[in-house]
Amino acid sequence: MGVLNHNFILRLRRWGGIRNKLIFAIILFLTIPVMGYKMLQEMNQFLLRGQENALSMASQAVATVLHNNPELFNPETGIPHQLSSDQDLYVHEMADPPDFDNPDFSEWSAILERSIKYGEPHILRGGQQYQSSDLSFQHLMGISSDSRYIYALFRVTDNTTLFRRHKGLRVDSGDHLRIHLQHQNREPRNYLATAYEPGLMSIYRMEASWEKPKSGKHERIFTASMHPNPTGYTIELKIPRKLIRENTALSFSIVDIDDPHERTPHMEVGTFKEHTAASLNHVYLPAPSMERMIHAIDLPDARFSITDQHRRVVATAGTLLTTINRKEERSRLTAPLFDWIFGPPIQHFDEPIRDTREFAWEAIDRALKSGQEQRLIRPSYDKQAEVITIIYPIHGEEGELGVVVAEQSNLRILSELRITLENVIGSTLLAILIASLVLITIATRLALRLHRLQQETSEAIDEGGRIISDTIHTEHHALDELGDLSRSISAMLNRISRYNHYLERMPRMLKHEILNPLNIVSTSLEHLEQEIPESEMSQKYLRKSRRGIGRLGSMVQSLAEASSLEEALAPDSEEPFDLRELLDEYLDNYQNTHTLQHFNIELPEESILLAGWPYAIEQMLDNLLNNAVDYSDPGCPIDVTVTLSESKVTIHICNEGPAIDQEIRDTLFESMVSSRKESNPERPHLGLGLYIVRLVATHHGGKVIAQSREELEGSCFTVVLPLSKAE
Amino acid sequence: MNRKIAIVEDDPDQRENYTDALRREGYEITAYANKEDALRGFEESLPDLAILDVMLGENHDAGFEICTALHQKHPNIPVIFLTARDGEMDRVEGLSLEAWDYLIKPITLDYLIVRVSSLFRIEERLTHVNAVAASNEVQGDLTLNETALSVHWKEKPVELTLTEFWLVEALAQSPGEAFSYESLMPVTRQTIVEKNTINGHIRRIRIKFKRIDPEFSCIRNVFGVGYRWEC
Repeated sequence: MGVLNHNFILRLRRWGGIRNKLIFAIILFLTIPVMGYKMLQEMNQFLLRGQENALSMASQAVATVLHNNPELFNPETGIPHQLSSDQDLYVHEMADPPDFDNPDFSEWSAILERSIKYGEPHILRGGQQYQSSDLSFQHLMGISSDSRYIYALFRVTDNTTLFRRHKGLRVDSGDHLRIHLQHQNREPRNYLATAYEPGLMSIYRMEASWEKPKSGKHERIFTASMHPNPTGYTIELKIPRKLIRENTALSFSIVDIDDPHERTPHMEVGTFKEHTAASLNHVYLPAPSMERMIHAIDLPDARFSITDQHRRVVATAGTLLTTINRKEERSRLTAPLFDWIFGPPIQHFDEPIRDTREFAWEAIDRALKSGQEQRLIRPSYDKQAEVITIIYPIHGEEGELGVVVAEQSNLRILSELRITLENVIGSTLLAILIASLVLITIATRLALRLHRLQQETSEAIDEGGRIISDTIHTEHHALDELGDLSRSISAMLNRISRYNHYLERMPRMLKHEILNPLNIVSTSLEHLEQEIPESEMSQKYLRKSRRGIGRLGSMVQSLAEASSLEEALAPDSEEPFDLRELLDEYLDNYQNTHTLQHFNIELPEESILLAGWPYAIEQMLDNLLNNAVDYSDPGCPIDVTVTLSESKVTIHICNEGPAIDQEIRDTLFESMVSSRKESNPERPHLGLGLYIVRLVATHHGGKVIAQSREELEGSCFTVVLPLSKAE
Repeated sequence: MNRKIAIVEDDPDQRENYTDALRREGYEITAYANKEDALRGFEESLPDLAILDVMLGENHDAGFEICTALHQKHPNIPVIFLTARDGEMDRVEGLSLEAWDYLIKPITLDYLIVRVSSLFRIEERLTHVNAVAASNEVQGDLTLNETALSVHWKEKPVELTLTEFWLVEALAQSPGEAFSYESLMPVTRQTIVEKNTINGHIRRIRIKFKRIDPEFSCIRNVFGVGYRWEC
């Protein structure tokens, strides 16, 4: 648990650095563009509302103009009443009638975009594994300016164009056009247009079953021509205007013959969905007067359409076609970035009219029923933009005559927003990015500088607390706060080092100062011994005085021992010696002086060659063994074990007795630290013994460790010394 | 003719104690408190031996300076430095000035007297070579010369310090007799002696003998007591 906690704190410390804190703060900066974006969204709403209102006013104006003109919705215009199907064939105004003798179809080009595609949904027959190249067509109807004829254009896509066979009587042996015509409740009339070769087509009136013509005669009321092209063929049809009356249903279908031998119908695609009367198409003729009326409205990128009460479009003006190119307004710096994120801005938008009514169907219903204006914003057909739609009812004497549907895309708003986003948010983001980079750089540099400072500071003092260098060079000349910090650390180290120096010198100074008076007392005592008669008492007192002097002397000696030892351990004054020999003799002698203490001694057989100061080693052993003896329980042996490895020699000195206090263990080897509770009057203790041990060990390139014994109460001191390199 | 000894010591008590002790031995003593007085005194008459404290008042190196001045006048005057400065550098500097001895305070007066007399003997030996041979004392392979303070083992010289000499002398003069630590302590003639100090001396003596004769084993440990000489 503790380890887990520790790791957590370590990780926290690693992630809690100045730089990371700053990065976290910088992340908060990012809310600024987010807020900006939010503001833009609000602006978008606001602009949409404005656009909506403008559009509403325009449609209201149109509705007002129309509302007392029910004659504009007069059936005379060819709009059949009581119809609710939207499968209408729209007839558009044509400037010039098509020239059947010179079929280049150029007359259709002005209204070609209003053509409607018929394909898979309109398959009446056949069509397994359908492909649009099998059979599909574009259909368009137009009316000449003199309103005498209605023209129809079929641009058929067919992978095999077959003309009628010359042999045989069958009229349906080639690709052909079927015309379904029905006046209200009367018998439907079927016509078939076919051709032996490119050019004018023969038209036959067919029986109800389409099996064969009613007579071999060509029908003259229609004129049609068929011209093949690389993808199929084109059929042009001319229908007299008078044939189309109120409630006239008119539908077309194209029959495809693919097998040149069998000549059986392969597929049939029609402008309607089923062969029922209800699903047949109705022709819707334009109301030019109304279209002219709303044509005057000049609202850019807006489309107005008037729908009658049957929801049929009677007039349209304007287009949703919007083209915006604001390239020069975009910032060259941020534009590619935004293009990369959001894609290039929409520059072009259009939507054909038939989609409009599909989307707005219910709203038109609501407007017709309630007589209230309806507003809706619907996604465009291609989902790229939104289309604002205003549906405004046209009030008549008896209920609503129809509705004005005003549509406008929000492309301009979008492009406005895009430009704003790019220029404002983009530059803000860029500024924040640069600012963040600068801040992160500063933080990184700061962290780095602090790290270096910390490194050097911690290296200025070694493990033993000695000051190695009293000047911090890192940031020493820096002008900022870090420089101040560095300089004050230097000053601090300097003061500590002076203080330490003073402390180190103190024992020597003390010794020197004490030695002189000591010498006076000692020499004076000697004189006294000469002068005073040899009485028992005087001898006793003199002995006591001598002992006192001796003790004082040894105290002063040990006080200065460390510093004079340090002086003696000068580099380049090492001498080679055999540690085994030294230990052997030393321990023998030591046993000699400590007869009551039992030692278990284990020494290796071979000699241990070291380079160093044997006298200092003896002093180290003195201190270690004295320590072990002092702390040993009476009668317990002291183990002295020396082991030799390839590169080092290890001396273990273990005793049995009170263990070392945990709290003192870390500072045990420091100067003036002692765990002794009572002082030994025979040997003054100044807490320098183990300090000397460490001093000697480190001067020999080794170390000393104090441990508690595991198997029994007691402690072990282990000295590890590297062997002489020469060996 | 009494030998003349000059003592330069700024501490009046110590100066007086040295003076009294040496005077009791029959030497003629002139004592000075500082460098200037001493140099002035040496102008009038040169001593046969000088005992100098190194630090005199504020001048930390006064003793060394006096030594240099004295040797300029007479290069062969024995000089003993007697000081509380026990730093290695100080010893080296003192001895490099061709001082004859460098003694560290506190010192016993007995020791001082012995040192002074042995220095005079050495000086005498330098002038009267013949006297030396007479004082040879032979003990098996060991030859001790108390006058020259020299030791020979199997006719090869053993370079011993004075303290070591005294210890060898004490042990060798009573072969087979066990010397306790307590009885060896006064032999060193030093104020502060511990058992371990004796051990250190003995160890170094053995090393020095073994350099000449690896078989040397005459100094034996006496368990719980001390050492004895037995070959």
